Amino acid sequence: MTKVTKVLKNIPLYIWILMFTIVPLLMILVYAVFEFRPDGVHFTLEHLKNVITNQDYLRALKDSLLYALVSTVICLLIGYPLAYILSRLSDKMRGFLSMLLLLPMWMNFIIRTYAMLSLIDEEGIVTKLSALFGGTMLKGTKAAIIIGMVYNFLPFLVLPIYTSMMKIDKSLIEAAQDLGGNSYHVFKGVVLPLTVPGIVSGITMVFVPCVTTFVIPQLMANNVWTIGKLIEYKFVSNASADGVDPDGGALSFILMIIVFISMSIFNLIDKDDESAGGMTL
Amino acid sequence: MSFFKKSSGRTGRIVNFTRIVCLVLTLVLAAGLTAGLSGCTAKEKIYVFNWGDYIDPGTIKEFEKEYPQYKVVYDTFDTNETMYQKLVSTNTPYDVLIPSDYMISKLISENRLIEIDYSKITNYDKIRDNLKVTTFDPDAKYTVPYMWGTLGIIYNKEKTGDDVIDSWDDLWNEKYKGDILMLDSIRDTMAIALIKLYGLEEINCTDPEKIEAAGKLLEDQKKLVALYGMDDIKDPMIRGNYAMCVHYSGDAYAIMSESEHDLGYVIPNEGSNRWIDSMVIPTSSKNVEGAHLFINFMCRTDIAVKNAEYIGYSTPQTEAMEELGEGYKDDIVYNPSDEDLTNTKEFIALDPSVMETYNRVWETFRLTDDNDSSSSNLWWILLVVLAVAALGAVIFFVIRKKKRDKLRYED
Repeated sequence: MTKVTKVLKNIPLYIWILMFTIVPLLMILVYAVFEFRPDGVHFTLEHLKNVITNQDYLRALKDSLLYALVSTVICLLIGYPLAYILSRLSDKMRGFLSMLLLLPMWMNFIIRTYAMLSLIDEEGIVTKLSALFGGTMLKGTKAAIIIGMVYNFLPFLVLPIYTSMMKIDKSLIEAAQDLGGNSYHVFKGVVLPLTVPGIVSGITMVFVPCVTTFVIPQLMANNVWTIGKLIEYKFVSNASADGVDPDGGALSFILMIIVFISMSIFNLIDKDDESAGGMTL
Repeated sequence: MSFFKKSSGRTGRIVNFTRIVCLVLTLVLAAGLTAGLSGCTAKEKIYVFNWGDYIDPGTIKEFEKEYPQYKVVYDTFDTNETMYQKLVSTNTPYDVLIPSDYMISKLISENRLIEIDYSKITNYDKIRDNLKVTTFDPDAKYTVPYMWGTLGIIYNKEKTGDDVIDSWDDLWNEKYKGDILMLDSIRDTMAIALIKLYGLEEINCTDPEKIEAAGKLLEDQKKLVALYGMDDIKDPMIRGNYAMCVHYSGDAYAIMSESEHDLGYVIPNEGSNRWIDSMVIPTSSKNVEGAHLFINFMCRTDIAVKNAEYIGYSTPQTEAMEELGEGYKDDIVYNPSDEDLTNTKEFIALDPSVMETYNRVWETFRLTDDNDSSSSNLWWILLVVLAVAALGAVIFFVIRKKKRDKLRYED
């Protein structure tokens, strides 16, 4: 009886997961391997083959993985020290600074990207300053995409690391110091291992959205194609009256597999230590 | 467990409540039905299906005031394709549709339109003559033009200087590298390449080889183009940052009136595309009489003026154009000359297999790498910096380890 009611009580949750996770995932699969023609539905691997053999699509995929990788590394180089500094500050100062960090996130993502764009476009202050030193406009270059990604996703990396740093017991650090460790030893032996879960979930939260984003490349460098932009093009701009472009379904399917693979790699690293950890996906 | 017990205790009250709700709902429904029925007998309905935000709402009110026997049921769509889907799949008896040219040609070929009785459209003679006969309605039997415009080049006289911009060739001029904005729209941009290669006649080209060649031509142009876009290329043009921009006349008119720079608009010599949104009566219509009345009303001078002022596109109604006055009728963007107009053609619907060729060619052209050296350089610099940083970190760790080993050894 208790078991039955427990299941019954969870029904809204199951419906939610079914409607908004399982069904959409299945739809991606269906669009990838089935063809809808007036004479019926046919199973086909043609679209997957199309996608895998199309050099332009592969380049878009490679590029988006590279952008995501570079952005994540830069985010990490900036974000980790930032989180470390934040965790070392006095309570008052920390509250103020973390609010500053979170403040832009209350704004809409697209508006934030437009704001960044307005700094580097034809009339932007960055462009005008760099013109003084003979530089060119950043908008439309690959660097602009990296800038957009780092700017938009940095807080997602800082916050998990910051949370796991706040969880570190002060006495552990003191113990390490008592045993004669200098600040480098303390960092390498205590702080870094204890923040690994934070780093892992932070990387996941930056890398995956970076691979899939289409707004940033669309606005920052119109001529660059990433996988997210390609899928958006396939479904929105190229959609015919008859329905979905089947190559778009196949592309989404492959992207989903890549995301799953990269997430399970991250989770593998994370597996060792489940005690600490900020926001895991 | 408690979930069930509680609810059983409340059952009685819930049943009572349900009864009351049912009763109220039935009463409301009955009242609504009688009201609806009496409304039906008093007023005939005209179902109008139009683009969103594409009519002055005041004109509908005026129509209902003048013809109290009719009630206009107004519905909107956001693309021609959704309009088509809804028309075909629902039972709504639409009386007047206002789709674009190529969709009208599709509707005509599928026998979904009825011929208009032009003797009932008394204002039809006020419609500009060279807009009546079109590629999509060659015998002028099914359509009454509603709004229209042309495709052309907006150019910044401060940047082009003494050069005369009057040809599509100007968009392939090396001199304007990085100074050109193009439309990110398959049919429009492909049409430019097709006109340039084969002339205006091939604007609705179905020959795969010619379509491929047009794609190649656009690929050649790619290195000169700063940005492909729709609405996002308007702002840079308004601010005067680029020399040339391809856009539709309605948008060109808006860009030029907003800009502080000296801009011009031209329909190139080789000819160009023009679009016409027209009023048509579908076979689903059950109120053909009312549909004619409504179409005629929209063509009346005072109504056409109001509508043109509200929408901002060019009106085909000549008297209305006169009445709009200075700034409109003498504006070559808003009201092009007859010579310019004879040099334009409309799109018609293409076969899905032909559209597939268009899509494939367009995609290849859009996705090819243009290898812009300046941007790839930046990219490499970034990579090198990162590699150096990683290398530095490794060396740092190795040295530290050696030092530590040494210490331990000395102990």
